[in-house]
Amino acid sequence: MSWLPGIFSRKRLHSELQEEIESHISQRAALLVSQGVQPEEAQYQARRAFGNAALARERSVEIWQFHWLESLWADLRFALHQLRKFPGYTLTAVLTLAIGIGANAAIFTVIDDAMLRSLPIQKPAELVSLGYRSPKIPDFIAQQSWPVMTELKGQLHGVTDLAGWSGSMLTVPDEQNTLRSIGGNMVTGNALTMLGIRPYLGRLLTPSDDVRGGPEGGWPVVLDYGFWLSNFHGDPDVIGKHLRIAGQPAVIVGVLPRNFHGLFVGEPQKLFLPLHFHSALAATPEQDPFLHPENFTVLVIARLAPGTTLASLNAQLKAMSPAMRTFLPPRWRNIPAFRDAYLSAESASRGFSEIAEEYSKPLLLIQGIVLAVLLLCCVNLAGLQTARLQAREHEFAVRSALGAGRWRILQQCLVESLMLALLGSIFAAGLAWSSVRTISSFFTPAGSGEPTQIQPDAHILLFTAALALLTTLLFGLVPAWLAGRVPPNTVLKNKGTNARRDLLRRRLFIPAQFSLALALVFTAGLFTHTLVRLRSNHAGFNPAHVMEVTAQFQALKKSPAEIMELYRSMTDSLRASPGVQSAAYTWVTPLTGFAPKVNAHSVAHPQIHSIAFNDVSDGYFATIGTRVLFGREFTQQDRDRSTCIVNQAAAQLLFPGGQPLDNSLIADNSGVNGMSKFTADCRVVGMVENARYSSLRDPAPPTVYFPASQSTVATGGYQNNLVFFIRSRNAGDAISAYRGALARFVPSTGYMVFLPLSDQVDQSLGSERLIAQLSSAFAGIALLLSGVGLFGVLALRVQERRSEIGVRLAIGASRAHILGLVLRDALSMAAIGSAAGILLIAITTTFTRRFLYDTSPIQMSVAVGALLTLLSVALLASLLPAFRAAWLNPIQVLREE
Amino acid sequence: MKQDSKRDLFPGALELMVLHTLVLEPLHGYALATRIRQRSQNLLQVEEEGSLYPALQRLLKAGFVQARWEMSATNRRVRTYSLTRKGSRHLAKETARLDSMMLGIQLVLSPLPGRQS
Repeated sequence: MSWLPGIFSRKRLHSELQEEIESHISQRAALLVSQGVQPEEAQYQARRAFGNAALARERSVEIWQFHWLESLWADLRFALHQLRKFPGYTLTAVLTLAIGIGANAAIFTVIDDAMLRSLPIQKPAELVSLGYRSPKIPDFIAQQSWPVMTELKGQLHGVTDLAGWSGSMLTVPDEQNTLRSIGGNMVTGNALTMLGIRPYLGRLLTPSDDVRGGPEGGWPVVLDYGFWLSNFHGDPDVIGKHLRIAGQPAVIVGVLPRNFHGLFVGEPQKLFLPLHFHSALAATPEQDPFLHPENFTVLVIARLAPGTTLASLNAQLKAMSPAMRTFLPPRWRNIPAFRDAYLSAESASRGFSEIAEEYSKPLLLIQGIVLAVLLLCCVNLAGLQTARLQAREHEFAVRSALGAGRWRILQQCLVESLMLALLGSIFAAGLAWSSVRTISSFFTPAGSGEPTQIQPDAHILLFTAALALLTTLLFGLVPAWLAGRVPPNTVLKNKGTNARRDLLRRRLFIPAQFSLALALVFTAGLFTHTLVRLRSNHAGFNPAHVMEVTAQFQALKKSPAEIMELYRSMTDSLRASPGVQSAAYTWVTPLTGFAPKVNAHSVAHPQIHSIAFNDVSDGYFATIGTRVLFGREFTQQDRDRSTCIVNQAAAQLLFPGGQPLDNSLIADNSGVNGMSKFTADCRVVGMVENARYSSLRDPAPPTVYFPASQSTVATGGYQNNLVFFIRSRNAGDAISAYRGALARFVPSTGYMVFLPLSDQVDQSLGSERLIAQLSSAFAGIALLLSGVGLFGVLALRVQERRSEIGVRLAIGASRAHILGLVLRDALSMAAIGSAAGILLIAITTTFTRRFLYDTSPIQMSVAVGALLTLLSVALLASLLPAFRAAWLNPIQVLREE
Repeated sequence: MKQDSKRDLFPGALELMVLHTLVLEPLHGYALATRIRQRSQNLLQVEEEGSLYPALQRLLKAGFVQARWEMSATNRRVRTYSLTRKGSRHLAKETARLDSMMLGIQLVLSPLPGRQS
């Protein structure tokens, strides 16, 4: 380590040597003077004997230097100087890199947040979720019945802790003291503490909180950090404050840490209450899960004991499975696919992410697209860098003649590129950080009012830094290599030739950019085509001017008949409100990805078909804008499943060649779709047009509609909550009508969110919108970059060929000829690029195919459009250089020679 | 380039002479240069005295000598170099190696039998 101080006290080393050497010389001079030499002559002789003092000092200092580092430092300073000297170039390069790296970092952040990052808890790798697997069900079922969980808690070895999680919508007064329904988690007392997190304020829940009826003084509640900020303005004295949650007295005991929002990544839960709060929510003793635990299911989270592996836990669970069957909820035991189910565990280290499940493939696609954009940025910069280094050819030749090695020049060029990349990545990180919010809005699940949240973290910085290094190599290496290769004498003797690099740019960099741009534009075109197709799909209903709001009646202690009466009176009141054209309610909201099925057949045709169904109120079809083709809509007199309405598709399926109206239909619901088992023998009273149900992608399924009734409320699985649709002139009318109806009939309940049905349609196209809009944005950037790249090269070429063009003009070439010369040049580059781009497209179709709807992966219209776009960009970029060339003044040019 | 070959008889020779000179007593740079010249009876003089200093820094870095700022007899602030244990071990080893090398060179360069002219 003796050299270490050498680096850091360079100055001192210098001054000490200086002193030592001066002392040496003056001692010798003094000796000479004492021998009778004149003082001046003595000085001179002493210095001559000593030799080159500066060199001796430099050599001495050099011994202590970490030579490589020193030269790097010099390069760094030189690079900074160069970048400052050419602000235009620096700005272009930094912006290009910022866009390329920023786009990658933003998408990576989303992927990281949803799929890669561990929960911000202690030893997340130990966290497992205990649930079921079945050979017949592809996904892991992360649910357990309460009795099984209790059994496991007593018998399972190898886990240190076992907690139960469940969720519910809970009403809490908002700032104007109107009730609002928000998502909350009810958890066993140990659930939060076992994660090893520290509360931001107060304390976490404890096992003593989780008791029947709640502890003395009200239900303890822990708030999410964001909820505390928005609803309590970050009040540090919030601990101990009282609050009514779902009508129950509660007291705030803590605030969660800033970065932890529960196990459901992207969907922050706002409140955390003891699991026994379920009993307080129950309207009747039958609904109390602790009195009737057979159908009570929770998410079971456990922590692996040190030394236990997931595999050994799974083996243990599988062995226990047969014994646990008797504890299964009755409704699960009857599901055929569940017959061979066995207990199983999965890692829960990353929590549960809706985005990861639904968007992993689109996200990877987008990541691929942004990588292509980054590649294009690199190619673009490589071209720019080559041009710039070419301008500095003379400098390199001089340095090389003075003895600078090739590696030395390479190092210097790379340092400069690295500086650019680092500068770019700083902006990129900022860009990514700020755009993550916009991107995350695409992931808002259809029908939910809460935007999905994605948290950028320090990973983003690491990722951008890594990309900066990568891009440096990508765009800096080739030009730097070429710069080091210049034979100095050719350059120093005359201006030398740079045909080779020019060729590189014209035959490689520009065409490469155009091929990437073409592929990106074409792909974006395909996705946009898909989105347009999906949007223009006649959905079978008209979402414009319809407001959707979900009732929040879960805490009402009323019988299903009373609840049903409430729905009817509220709907009547809504219909009578100013500005409201019609109002209705439904069990299932369309386009949420959910379409329950029944087995149905007509009396005349005993062939059984599985068809979709829904329970809807009177006036539903008028409100949502689905046309009734024959017969009638439901009226308030239709109060059970003895009447039904079919859509066209169902009519054709169940009554082939016949007349559905007034015929009977038998529908059998097995009870696996959220609605309890029923068999309906109903008379068809109407036929409606086909309407899309689970999503816009799937064609309208054959559907049978039943009147919403008290059995919908009692057995529909949504805790009294149906969805209101209000058609009105404007959104405000619908909202005030609903607020008025709430205040009049059920002042104790709240609203969750008012969502225009058209937004719901948009949200249901989340992944298509994400892909189409982001890929279009990136295709635009790609076009811009390749246009600017082409422009740069052409401008330079025209500049270089000034004298040639001048001579041509002087000997009679027409301006049109010169114009054609430049344009041909440009178009030939674009053409080579397009040819390569078509190859690229052919390769990518295998990846893009799965994301398309009603669009061929080689859709001709899109291909032609993309080619035309690209050619017009090429033309646009070449116009200015071409005109500049054609309008050169030959006399002036020749005089300059 | 020419300087270098003149300065060093062979790489490391100057360093070895410095180490040997320091065996007797700690010296500063000027004294070292003078002493080397005197001891070689002016046959070997440090060609350019300046080249002594990089050699001294090399020895410092290797840990063979250590330096201390002192006041000289003529009341000057001078940097005095002294031999370390590591330095004397190195000197002993190198001197032995040098001796055997010299012997080898002498044997090779000695007059060949029967070819005297």
